[in-house]
Amino acid sequence: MIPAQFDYVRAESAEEAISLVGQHGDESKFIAGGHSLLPLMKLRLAQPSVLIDIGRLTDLSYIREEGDQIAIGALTRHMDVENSTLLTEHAPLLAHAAGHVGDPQVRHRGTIGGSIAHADPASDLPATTLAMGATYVAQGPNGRREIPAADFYKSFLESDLAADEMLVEIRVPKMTGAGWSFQKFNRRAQDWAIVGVAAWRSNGSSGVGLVNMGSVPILASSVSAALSGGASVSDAAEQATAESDPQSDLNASVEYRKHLAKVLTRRALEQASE
Amino acid sequence: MLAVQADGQDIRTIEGMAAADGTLHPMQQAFMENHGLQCGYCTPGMVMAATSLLEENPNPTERDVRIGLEGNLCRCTGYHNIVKSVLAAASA
Repeated sequence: MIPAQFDYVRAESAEEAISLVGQHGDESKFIAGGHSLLPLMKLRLAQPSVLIDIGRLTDLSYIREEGDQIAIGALTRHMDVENSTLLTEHAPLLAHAAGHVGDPQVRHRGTIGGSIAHADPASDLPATTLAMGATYVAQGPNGRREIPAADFYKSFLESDLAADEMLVEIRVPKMTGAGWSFQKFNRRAQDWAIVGVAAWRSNGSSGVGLVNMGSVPILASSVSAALSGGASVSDAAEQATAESDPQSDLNASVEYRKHLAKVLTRRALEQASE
Repeated sequence: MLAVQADGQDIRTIEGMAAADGTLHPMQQAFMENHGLQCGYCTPGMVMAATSLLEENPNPTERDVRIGLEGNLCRCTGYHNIVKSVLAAASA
């Protein structure tokens, strides 16, 4: 439970953070809320030699309307996403899912950018923003670039971010008036999902993201394709596992996870279709 | 979180809740009056989380309180009297 030794530096700006990671190289890690990284460090599953604290970059904590998108600063805490009136109106699926991350203590400290950059397939927000067709904005030494969520998750805890890039913004399309649902199945309120499903439907389009159904967050495109082809909700939900590759663990076997994914997808689509 | 991340910030702990003369904070008083604790192990966390909850939401429903205390585990009370204590503190 005691992390290995590390050095700590606090960045005062995004530019400084990126230059610091340039100096310290691959063995350094950004820390924001710390609610993904510190548990790994305590188990010594992560042993960065330098922590670059970006937690005080308050200019990266914002939620604002930009045309047909909502832009969310990477340092925005889960609690602020959950309680945002802008998101509740235009992207209620994301606000609601943020309210299911961990417990209030975690949501007061943890950030949306930290959760997404950590790229944990068992976390709620990667799969939710993937389902929504979000775009992530990364900043590096040569400026900013946009990465579609669908191209971001490479393998377990590995994203498309280069070592000297920092996630600075999450952009989600407005889904004002769309049907939506977030289904999270777990044993205790603050646990990770054994399986989770984020889904939306609007004017013949849909998106379904699966939590903890593989080594990366899963976009269940076969479900959306079935719905577009006129399939019923229950028939479409049968396609929920087409893209997934779940693991067995203490909480659930592969078979149980696949069954859950179909059941939760059906429930999510039913709710999103109301 | 790391202690260094709190550098320059104010930190409030259970030790700072009661007044200097020993008068309990209203939340502590409510826990005492409503039997909101048994062994006491979880009580500091419960009192601090509940105090933070009321600062954000001064008039919570029972459901708000239960959600607000998520993540704070109590192995003796079954939570009922803890929730009762927080609701009592809210209406005090």
